[in-house]
Amino acid sequence: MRKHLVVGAVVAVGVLAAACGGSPKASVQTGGVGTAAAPAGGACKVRSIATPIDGPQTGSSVALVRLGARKVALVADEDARSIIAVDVDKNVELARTRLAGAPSQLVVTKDGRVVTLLRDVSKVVVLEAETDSGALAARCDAKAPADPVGVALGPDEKTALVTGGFGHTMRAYDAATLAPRFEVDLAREPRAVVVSDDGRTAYVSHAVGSTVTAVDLDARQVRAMNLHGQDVQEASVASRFQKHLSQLKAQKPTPEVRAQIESIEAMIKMRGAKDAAKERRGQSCQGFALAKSVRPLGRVLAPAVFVDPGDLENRPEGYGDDHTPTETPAIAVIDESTGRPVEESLTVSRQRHFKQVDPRDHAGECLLPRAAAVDPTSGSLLVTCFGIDAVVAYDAASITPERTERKRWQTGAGPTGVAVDVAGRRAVVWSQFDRTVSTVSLETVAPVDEKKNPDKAPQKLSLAPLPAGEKLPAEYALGRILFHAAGDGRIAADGRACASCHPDGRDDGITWATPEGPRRSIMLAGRVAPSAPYSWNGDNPDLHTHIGHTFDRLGGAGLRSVELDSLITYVTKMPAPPAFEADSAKVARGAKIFASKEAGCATCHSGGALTDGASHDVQSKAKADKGKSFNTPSLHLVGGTGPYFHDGRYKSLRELLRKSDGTMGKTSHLSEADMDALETYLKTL
Amino acid sequence: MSIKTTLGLATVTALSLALGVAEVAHAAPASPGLWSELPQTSLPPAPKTAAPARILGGERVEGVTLTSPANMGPEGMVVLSETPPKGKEAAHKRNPFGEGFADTCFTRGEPQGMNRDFTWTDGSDARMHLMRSMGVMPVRSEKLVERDGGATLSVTDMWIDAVTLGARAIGKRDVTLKQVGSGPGDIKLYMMREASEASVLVVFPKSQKFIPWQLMGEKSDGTIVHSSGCRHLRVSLAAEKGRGESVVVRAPSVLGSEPVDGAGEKERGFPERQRVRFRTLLVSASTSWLGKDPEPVVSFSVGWEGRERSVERVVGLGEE
Repeated sequence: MRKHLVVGAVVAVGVLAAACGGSPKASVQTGGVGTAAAPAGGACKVRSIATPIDGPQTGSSVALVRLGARKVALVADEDARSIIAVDVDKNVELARTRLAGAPSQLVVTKDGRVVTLLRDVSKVVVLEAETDSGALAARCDAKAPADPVGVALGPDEKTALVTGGFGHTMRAYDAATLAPRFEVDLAREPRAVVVSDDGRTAYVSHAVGSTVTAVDLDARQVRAMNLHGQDVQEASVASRFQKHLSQLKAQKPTPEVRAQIESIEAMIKMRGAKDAAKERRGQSCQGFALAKSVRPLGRVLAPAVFVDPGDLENRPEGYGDDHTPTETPAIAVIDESTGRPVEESLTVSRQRHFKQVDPRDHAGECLLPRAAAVDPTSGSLLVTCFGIDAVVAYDAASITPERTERKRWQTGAGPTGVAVDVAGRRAVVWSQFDRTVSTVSLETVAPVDEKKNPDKAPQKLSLAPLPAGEKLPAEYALGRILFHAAGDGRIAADGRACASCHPDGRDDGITWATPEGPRRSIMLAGRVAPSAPYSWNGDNPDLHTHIGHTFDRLGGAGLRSVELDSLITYVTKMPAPPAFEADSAKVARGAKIFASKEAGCATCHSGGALTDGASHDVQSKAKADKGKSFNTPSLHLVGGTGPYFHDGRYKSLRELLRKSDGTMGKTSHLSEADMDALETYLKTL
Repeated sequence: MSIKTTLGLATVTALSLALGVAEVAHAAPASPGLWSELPQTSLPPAPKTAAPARILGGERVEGVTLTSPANMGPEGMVVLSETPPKGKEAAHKRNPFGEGFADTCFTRGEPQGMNRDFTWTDGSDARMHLMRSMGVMPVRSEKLVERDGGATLSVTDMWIDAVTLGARAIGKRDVTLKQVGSGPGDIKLYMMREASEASVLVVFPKSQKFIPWQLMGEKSDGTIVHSSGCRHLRVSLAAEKGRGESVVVRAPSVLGSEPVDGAGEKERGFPERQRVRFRTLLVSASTSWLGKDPEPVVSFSVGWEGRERSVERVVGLGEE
């Protein structure tokens, strides 16, 4: 089994950037719409009447607080660039607090402060509620890691941890002052973060890369955990070998028995030998959520999706093997005591015969899990799922939670967060795409005869429409829903969504077997619009053609033209992650090398899109490739899109620069410092 | 026939005999300490000794019957089943394959390894078909007895001789079961524990007269366990430090029935019909014993697999 042992660079950040320490200044109109901007020099703690309800100290796009006599859901509304307060008992919207950016997550401290992340401007902001109106006042803010997407508090709430998605970092702050404490480098696209009960370890999920990271908060060291699925048939054979071995070992050790033991042990060893091909066919992605089990303690539950991209030495008709499911939902169980996922939770059952007999029973799998929370009373793990727009309850204590669906409730479109009101026996779900707050009853988390006991439909509240100038264009909004439509036969016959391979508009980091040969998924966010022609072969002149071909390969029936237009609008306008920041002198030096004739990078990577729009043979033809020329990819955001090349052969930019020398530009003449500068420059594109 | 087809046919066959009482129940969440609350037993392993050469034809074990169907001939198959109730012996002899649920399930022992040890197989059957050529073999019978809100599993191990139709008891043990959950259609979950295993029993209601021909479960290690024609399926899950095991059982649940308005059919002498509503449950159970657990964690849950369906049946058909 491949070990992802990554010891991240620990970067001392120093105490700076937090604009804290002065007098408070409320800037929110109560009972309506207000704007919260942190005053310069504002104190991080003045006075808040908010108290968190059953706070798991883990960020979400929705948090429950008590404001005086009210139970209030605070919702991080990215589209409105606001935090919206909703009275969950009366099901009414209370107030909107405008922010200086789009909030991704929030968490409420025991002393009532609301810590939120502004994703597009990379800031962390602290707000307080002075009254029960639901309006919040910003107290202080600090620079966050690029693309902040996840926040959690330590058990003593002295530390707040923030993950930066595209910035692939986690930064620790003093929760009282927002003074940064330290930062660690992580693998690609970290998302959710939870802290162990003893406060010593932070677990971080990753949207791509088959990984969950454990960060030792004392030693500030990073350990990546391999999250690869194992086919249940393989597991079954292995289990039988082990069983047979134990039986033999319990017998009288005759020479015959000893010979059998030796033979079985040899087979076990052989099967356990590193098999990259098998591992490659059990990759995982969609790690957007994490939740800590409450009963029993000591388990972290990590919803994900196992991906089988097919045999790269074959050319199937579509993306991935023609005969096995490509995407299988899973929930990994991480044992905090060992810091590893339990093997049984990583088994993938792709057996068709144990699936539903009648395809009309297909309830829609959770292929795009986005948020998770635990209801301790029913012992359920609640997972919100894009695409099927539902919150699904699983048995949180099972060793294979994904196989234990208890119940599901429909929510609004694009459920990004869930919070549990334990005493109120309900869960509140925030759905970003249609801006609704759904409240589902947790009274009965078990199946009932719905004809005799109709289940209470979730109570839904549509938030007040945004003013004309702030509203998302209808085309873009529709495109976003279509992009995340899982189980939609118009897009893919097997239920995959666009977001399955392009989570958050990024790429899944996976090389797929395709009819043309092995192909890396490509990053879309901020990269698509100017980079025609499309596909690695460059044979699709425009996006309409390219997406049409993609649907064909996915076995999708295709969208109506107005829907296709909307999807293209979304794909071309989805928010791009922020570029990396780097030492300007180094960047300038790297830019010079890039443009130099000796290096030759700019010969092909030219123009605003950093591509010449042509195909070249850079001697990278893989065994299953039909052709040998490949379209020059845009280098926008290239720093966060590894592994590289059409077949993902290079794990890092540095490896690419070294190993492609002579076939794609020249780098052998560069000193280590030059190479470093060139790599740094590339990361800023 | 594929398993998938078998299941499909099984459901249809089953529902042609269905008469269900709809009842709403729910599964409780996992509770810490459940392991300690489970009745503990120690079922003996399959025999470690060689099988007797022959069991005399006159030897019997109470509650089980070996029948040689007339149409099979002297060299054909024999059928092991629970003893039919008084007055039904002749009918049983005519058709030992029977209909309806049985309370008793049989599991065969298979020889393993070099020392002629036997191990119990994963599946169980209400009517076990044995070839005469199999000679003497160990068999375990498990009879479920539900009484006064509780349940007992009566386990008898025996030698069966497929040639002489003799049976000799090896040992018998009655095990108390704890009901840990239930689901719609009065499907119940019972559990007990052994040294390092938990046993999960998914039990169908006796009143249902409804045969899911094969109850099937898939364990987390990919093993398929099944029981055919029995009212229960028992699955053992390992409860060992550092690991876990789970099973998912597909259980068709009859939710109720309503008369079909036949527009005067009854008056015209047509048989009475009813529409039976059913929906498949996925019953899952898990054991795990991770680093911070003071004892094995046992959990279970029940959920719908798909949509509700219904079939029409003729009232009384197939019922005795």
